[in-house]
Amino acid sequence: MKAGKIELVVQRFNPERDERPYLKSYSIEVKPEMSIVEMLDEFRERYDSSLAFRKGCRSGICGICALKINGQGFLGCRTKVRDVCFNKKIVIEPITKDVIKDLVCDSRLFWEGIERAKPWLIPKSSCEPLSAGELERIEDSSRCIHCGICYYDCGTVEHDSTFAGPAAIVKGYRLIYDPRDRYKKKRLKQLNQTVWRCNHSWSCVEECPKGIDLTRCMDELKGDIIKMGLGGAGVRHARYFERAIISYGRLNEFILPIKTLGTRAILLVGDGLRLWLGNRLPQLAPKRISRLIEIKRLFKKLK
Amino acid sequence: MQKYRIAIVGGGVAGLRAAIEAYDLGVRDIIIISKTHPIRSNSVGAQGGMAAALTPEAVRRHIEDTIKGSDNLAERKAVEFISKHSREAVEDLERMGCIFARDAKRMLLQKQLAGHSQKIACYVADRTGHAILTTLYEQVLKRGITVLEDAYAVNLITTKKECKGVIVYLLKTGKIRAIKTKAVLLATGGAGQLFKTTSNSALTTGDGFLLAFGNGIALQNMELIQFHPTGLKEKGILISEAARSAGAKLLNEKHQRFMLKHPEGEMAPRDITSREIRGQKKAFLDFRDVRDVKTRLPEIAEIVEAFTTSDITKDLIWIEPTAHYMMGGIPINLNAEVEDMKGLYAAGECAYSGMHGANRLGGNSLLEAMVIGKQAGRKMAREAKRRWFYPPVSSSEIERAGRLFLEFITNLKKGSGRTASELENELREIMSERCGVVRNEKGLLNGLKRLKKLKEELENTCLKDSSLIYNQEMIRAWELRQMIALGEIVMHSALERKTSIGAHYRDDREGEHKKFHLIACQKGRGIIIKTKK
Repeated sequence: MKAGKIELVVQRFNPERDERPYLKSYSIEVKPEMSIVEMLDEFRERYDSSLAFRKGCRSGICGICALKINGQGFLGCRTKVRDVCFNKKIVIEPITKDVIKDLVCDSRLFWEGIERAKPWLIPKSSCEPLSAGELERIEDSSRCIHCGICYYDCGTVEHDSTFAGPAAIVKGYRLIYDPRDRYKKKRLKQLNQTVWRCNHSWSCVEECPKGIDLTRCMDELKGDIIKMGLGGAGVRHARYFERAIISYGRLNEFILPIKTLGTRAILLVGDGLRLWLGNRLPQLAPKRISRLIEIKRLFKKLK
Repeated sequence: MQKYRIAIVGGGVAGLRAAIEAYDLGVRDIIIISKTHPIRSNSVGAQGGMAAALTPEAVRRHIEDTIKGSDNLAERKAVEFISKHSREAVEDLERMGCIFARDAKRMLLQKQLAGHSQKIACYVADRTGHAILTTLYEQVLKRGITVLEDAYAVNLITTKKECKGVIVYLLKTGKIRAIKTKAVLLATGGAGQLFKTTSNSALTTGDGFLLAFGNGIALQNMELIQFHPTGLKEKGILISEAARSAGAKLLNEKHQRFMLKHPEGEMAPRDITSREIRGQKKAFLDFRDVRDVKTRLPEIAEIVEAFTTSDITKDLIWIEPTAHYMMGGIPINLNAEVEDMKGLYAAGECAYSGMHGANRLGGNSLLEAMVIGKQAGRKMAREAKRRWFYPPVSSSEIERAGRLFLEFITNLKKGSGRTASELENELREIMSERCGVVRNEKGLLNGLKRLKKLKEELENTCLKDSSLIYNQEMIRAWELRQMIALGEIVMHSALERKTSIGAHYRDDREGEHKKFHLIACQKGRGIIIKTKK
């Protein structure tokens, strides 16, 4: 990409004037190696000084400049123009719909989720300092810069703002596997209410600017919740899922919700009717797959 | 008018540490006033580590290294106090959950930083500032301490002898609030944004210095500014000393290791290294011989990848000195008290405790922020509990305190000159050219003349954004006003210090070196600089 003119589409919103946010297009000069924050700085200087956006460290460690660029979450200071400019166009929106002004957002919901995880060490009355191995286990999860990208782009949060989100779960992880923390079991019990609601959209893993392996953390937590013998819909879902695949090589999607939700599955009757009307009902009694033995071997190997 | 027994301006390491300490000593009504969410404070960027002397011998050496590194301007009492409390700072943080590096036998690991004669810095990978700030913020959350975000302290409410409160501008609503207090802590950090190339965050505009100075408090040694030798060219993003302690070399445009003339080579103190780098046409960091560089220095490797077009394993990384730390500041005693004003405290980079003298060693700023922050919390809590009544604040005192800011922003809306952004760019050019790594009388006098013009131009600047809510153009113009005033203080002090010491280098008086302190005071509308031995 060469230096030159591009189309910059930015979401604008001034609560004093505008009923709702809107996209506005500008023609601006850019250099390909500029960061998005540098580009917005120059935009403010040369084109429109009223654009509101947050910037801080400019070096990818404070997490303040999270933005939606071409529909995906990025840190503005770490993202170069050349990496997000396609067909000479960049679209920039705030990271969340809770907008205060232009690209500046209200991150209250994100922080409420973090707070619910009680992200502070509750130390045992006496504990040893951590060893190198224990530190290594929690090092990845402690690198979170609280940018909120994983939360705002989460497929579950999109439909359910009560889901604490990946960052909060990872904060819980970091303390659960810190041997100095007193409340491992309590924290696992609390996470048992949330961690199963992840719908595996993987946007958190793709977009985390620190490359934290968020879903690996969640999978480990799920494994330990099951080992601990905790109950709940999520655990039942996972257990039935495994049994169905080992026994049949496929899921029985009639039985799955009943096993997961128990009597509360009756609430899904409406959805079932809609599926039936749309000719999308799954098979009532799916057959075993032909090469089930290979699935069983796989499971044995994994265990 | 709201009231809180303790108001803390600034949500970085020093401010949060003070809040936690005061809370634990029984004062629950504390408010942290921060321009940004505390987790975004400039402290988050500290990379190298926190100095901590874990044995009596280590304390002894740490004290001597710090005093020597300060070019003998540091105050021994302060250095001894902070060094002796450094182990406690590590223990406090670990008790709060911080994960300093340890070995398989659970012993703390420490690394060498430039100017130290021993491995002194406890660290968390190369993101120690992030780890410490996150830990402290988690503790603030745990205690439910009130944090006011997007909030700018625009003045203190004071009489000649006492600080009674603070005037706050709320960016989200465009409203102004007065907060009555028994104690105000200034923990506003440094002022790297004065310079064109800085490692500091975009909001580090030195507000606390002017809050104190504008209320009659003298500032000490404001000309003593550390330029970290290795910031990325133009961007100023720091490549910490961990790079050089891991074996990265410094090369000039001819690929010569120009630091080898010094006994410590690439590990010479920052002031010496910065001057040497400035003396080259170009300077580079060479990581090519550092084994497993991406694993040993993950944050640095990430910085090179994200902010340059270079490959850390194959290419030379272009660097230049970057404005990094203000050694000077608001003079305090070891209880963080500003002695000339009751009810006012300062801690962290904006304070002058005597720890760093003319040049700060790596690892000592996080340490000072932790120790003095704790002292501030302790002292403020004691005073807040001892004083039964709030000092009375009249509406005319509030009006007087808020007047300067209100008049400034009202005036802005009528201007038609250059934008504040253009003026700010010019300020940063002037400061970097005339008051950077190398200074001289001619340059400083020229700089002062140009700053005076800028000040006049700012009164007529053009404000294009007239909105009330989240008007960043307007608040940045206010910050610019403060920065120009601060620039004048720094330049006057630099002019007055005619000889070199530590980070302050005068090339018009080469070879001369004298040890003394400078105090900058307000006199009418001007500044006078006095010498103090």
